[in-house]
Amino acid sequence: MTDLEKINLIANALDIMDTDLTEGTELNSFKEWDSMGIVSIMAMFDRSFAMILSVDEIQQFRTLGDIMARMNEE
Amino acid sequence: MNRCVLSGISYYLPPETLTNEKLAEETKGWTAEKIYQKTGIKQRHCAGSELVSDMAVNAGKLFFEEWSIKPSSIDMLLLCTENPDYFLPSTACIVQDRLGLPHSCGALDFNLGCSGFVYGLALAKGLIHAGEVENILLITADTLTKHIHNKDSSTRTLFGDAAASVFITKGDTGPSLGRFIFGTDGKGFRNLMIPAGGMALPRSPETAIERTDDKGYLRSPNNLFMNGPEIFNFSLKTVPRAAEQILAREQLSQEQIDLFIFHQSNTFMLETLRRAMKIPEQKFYINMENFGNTVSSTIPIALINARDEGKLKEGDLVMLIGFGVGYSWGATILKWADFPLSRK
Repeated sequence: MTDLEKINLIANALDIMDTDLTEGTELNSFKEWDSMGIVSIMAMFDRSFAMILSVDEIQQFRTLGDIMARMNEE
Repeated sequence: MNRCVLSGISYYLPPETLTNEKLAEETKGWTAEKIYQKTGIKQRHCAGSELVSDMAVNAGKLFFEEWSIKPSSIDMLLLCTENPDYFLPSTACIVQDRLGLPHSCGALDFNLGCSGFVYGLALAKGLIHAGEVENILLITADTLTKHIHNKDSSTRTLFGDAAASVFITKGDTGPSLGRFIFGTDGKGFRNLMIPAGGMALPRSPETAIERTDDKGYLRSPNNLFMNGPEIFNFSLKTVPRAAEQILAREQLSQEQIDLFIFHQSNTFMLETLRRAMKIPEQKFYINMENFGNTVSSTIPIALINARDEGKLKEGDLVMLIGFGVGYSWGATILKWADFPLSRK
């Protein structure tokens, strides 16, 4: 999966419309990064990678890059 | 052992509603349409000044009006609620009196939420099978919206109030109750609770102090708290396993189930479960647009609506799974036959 595809997967899960997303984009810059956002990312990992991430793990993510790195571990 | 069947379901919705439009006005960020997209809910009913006893009595009265059953025939009232009128006595005793149930009728509250309806069916089945009673009125009723802070959109968008009334009777004609599986994990109790108001933390001026959490939701210990992501995680791990367990107990395969009715927590959660469990859309019932998450009433409301919409036919196998607060969960499979009595 390319980096762009990973970013799109994350943006779709969080319902983010921004187009200038990079690995360094901070998750706290989105109002969508709330409890619903965390749940959406959990669902995305489950659906796309058959991984169930813990809440603690997801709450450690600070940037899009953190999420993308976790996808690499699959 | 005596067989038992369901014989009628009614439900009561308090008249006041909280629509997405009103929520959107009050909270910044989400439009009404966005709230619907995220939750699958358009409106929730709010009890207002009604107590659980009022809601239960209303559901009971509606039931006796709709179905050909007399209050005098009831020999046990089971009331599932997390918001009793008082610590004591059981709210069921108050409801017995107001519904005009006979003095020979037993009545008790039991305190469960999302899993409560399935547990209620199991309790009813046990009493009837043992030959102790024959006609049970199971009422589920909650007024959770009263405990939700109006600036906590993590819960305000999801929960609504309702009461449902279900008749379970000894007999062979009607949807029959099968076996059950149950589960509990008390380690999760803090993830869906009202911290103050019980004996562990009585209400005080201190418990009324509101704080904003790290996600920007405002609440005090007097308010409902839900850790959405932890509940989601719990549900994703627990519900598929519960389905496997009840199928194994009944020696059935998932493909043999005709309709799946789970506790209607929120549409996003339900859709994620459906996909994870590979259940076809046409077999998976979701109906919470106009009610929200009404706690232990979600399954009986969904069941009667599925029946009225013609989604159930004679011989269909219907899997019910309740899961959530506690953590507590339960599952059963009904064999559908239409109710022996018709609506008036």
